[in-house]
Amino acid sequence: MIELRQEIPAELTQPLEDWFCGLTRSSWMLYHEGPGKPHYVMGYFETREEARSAWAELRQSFRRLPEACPMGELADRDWKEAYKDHLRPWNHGRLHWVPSWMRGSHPVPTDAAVIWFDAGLAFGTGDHPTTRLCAIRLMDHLEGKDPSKLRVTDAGCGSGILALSAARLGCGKVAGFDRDPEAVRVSLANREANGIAAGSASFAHHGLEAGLPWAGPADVVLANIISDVLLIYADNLIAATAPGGVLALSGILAAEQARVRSHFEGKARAAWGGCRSDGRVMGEWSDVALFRPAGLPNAPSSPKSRA
Amino acid sequence: MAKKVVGEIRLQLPAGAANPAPPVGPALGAKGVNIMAFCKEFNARTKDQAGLILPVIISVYQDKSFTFILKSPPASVLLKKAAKIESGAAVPNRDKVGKVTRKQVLEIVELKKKDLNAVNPEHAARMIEGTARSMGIEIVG
Repeated sequence: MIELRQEIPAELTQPLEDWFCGLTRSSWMLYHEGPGKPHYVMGYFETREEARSAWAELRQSFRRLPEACPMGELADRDWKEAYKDHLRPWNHGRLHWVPSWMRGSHPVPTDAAVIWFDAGLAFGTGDHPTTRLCAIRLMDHLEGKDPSKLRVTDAGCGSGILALSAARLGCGKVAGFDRDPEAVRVSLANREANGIAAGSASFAHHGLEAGLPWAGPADVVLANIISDVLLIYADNLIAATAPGGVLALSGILAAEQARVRSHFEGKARAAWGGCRSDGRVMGEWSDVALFRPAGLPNAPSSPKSRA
Repeated sequence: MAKKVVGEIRLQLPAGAANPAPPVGPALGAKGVNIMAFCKEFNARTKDQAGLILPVIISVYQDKSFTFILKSPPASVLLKKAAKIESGAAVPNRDKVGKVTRKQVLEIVELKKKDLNAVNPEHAARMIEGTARSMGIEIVG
């Protein structure tokens, strides 16, 4: 990765920002360390040729910029792995999430259910409130039950951290899927790194409409995505939740919780013949859990399909 | 005590579609910011504005946590999009390169109202119309 970095006068910041906004895709950023410190324009490019050409194009609109811009190599380690310096272990009850690079150095209780994870560049680093809210819902639902009899679906599995947690906690059938192939690759790597058998947690490359039927009905459906996607696929998610099960939705900004809860509650009542719901907030984020009564079959519904 | 800001990063990203590819990954990763947490929050907050490139100002704190504020796209970009033109006129007084309706101007005012230093919507509309004229875009309707 080639990094361009040029100090600029402060008054160029706004015109440059406006110009970058007019590009279809900007490889540029503006950086300022604070009062009294210099302002920089910086850009990231695959090759030196690409960087030189982008700088020449920028100079056509901003003649005050120097003809040549300092250019340096940015090693992948410098940005792809820098997040590692700041991730910390987390636990809820006996479930412990520990970054894989802390294996051997971070003490865990002997009876802990530990997931050693590395999210790479997939969603699900384990330090986000939405992931934690889902994990807490999972733990709540397992309380007092025989986990080996439970089926868990992780819709939009990201790094696989939730699905692998379910498997580690002894859930009988666990399926995770994601529309991002990189997420599936990371999930499979995390499964192997944790010594979890393929039969205990399966992963596949699917979007919601194909992934939910692939996973089959589940007693715990975890969907840590974002509100708009959840709302579009409400019928599919509701249909995928087995009688007596819980549908745990997250990736919901706290301000959106009421809207999402009300939308799902109405649909779940109609489809399930009844529904209890609950919502929790963690920082700016929230979840919504919908509990399906036991013993009521699916009412006719029309899950969304884009096929 | 307020957390110490160690850097301010300005990026221009597609609403609802930020991902760790450059420049987001290198820009944030090199400063130790959790790239995916930023992408997730940015996408959640901007999903209603799909199709726009939004300026975002990210404050990075000493403990590598971050906050960000979203701005509206520049009026010139919104005007070019509304008029379906690639660029403004080189000589705006002489060359007219496109047209926008009064209704489109008001839609731009609505998008930019929190960033415009205007006393009321009418004043804001005059500011947008001024920008349009300076680009060789006529106001019609």
